[in-house]
Amino acid sequence: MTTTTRLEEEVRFFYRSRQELLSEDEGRFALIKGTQVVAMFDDEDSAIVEGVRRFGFEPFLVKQVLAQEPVRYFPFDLGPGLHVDV
Amino acid sequence: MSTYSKVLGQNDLVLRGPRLVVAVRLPEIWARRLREDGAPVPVPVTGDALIDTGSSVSGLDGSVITRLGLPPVRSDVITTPTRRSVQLTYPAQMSFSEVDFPDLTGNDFIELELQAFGVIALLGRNALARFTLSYDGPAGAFTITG
Repeated sequence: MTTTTRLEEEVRFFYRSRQELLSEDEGRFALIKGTQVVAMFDDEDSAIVEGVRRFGFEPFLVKQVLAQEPVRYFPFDLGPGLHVDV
Repeated sequence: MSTYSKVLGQNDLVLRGPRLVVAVRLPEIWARRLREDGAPVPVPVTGDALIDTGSSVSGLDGSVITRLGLPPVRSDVITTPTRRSVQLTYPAQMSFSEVDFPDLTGNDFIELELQAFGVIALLGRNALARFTLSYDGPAGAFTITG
């Protein structure tokens, strides 16, 4: 498996900041680098285009700001994933 | 709209499942960045993709992610039979070698270990949302239109 530690900082930061982000940007897409929200976007592709423009192949996270994340199901067990409480 | 039909025979369809030959590549936005940086763009990886109506999500074998240098850009919460976890997801563009379907492009491919299945990708219900799939068990055949 490839490393799952990439983006862990960004994912942790997102969940820590989610309540704050929800107050002004629910439904929008956050471009996150490290522990900073770089910018907010109305769609995911625009956020990724800007992330690639700014950071290239350096890690960055694009995450939609939702009060409750969609539940996605997979019928087999997966690797450990990120150590993040959601 | 294009249609692809395949008759595997009942036993093979049970054992192998419905599969399509795909080529997986780095999406254009990332490939362009590599070209701008003077770096080589990885050659697409070709292999079978297994259609899996039991999964919400689609995925790529870890070796494909490594060979293409796909960077994770998103995370999704995935529930499996025994637990819930946060998984990174990867961008990819997938073309279909045997049929003229439009390319499938997404930022939400999860990383899987698929080598034992002899496939490089798994197409879940998020990919199938744009297709009509007919599974004919008695005939050992399937048809997909999209």
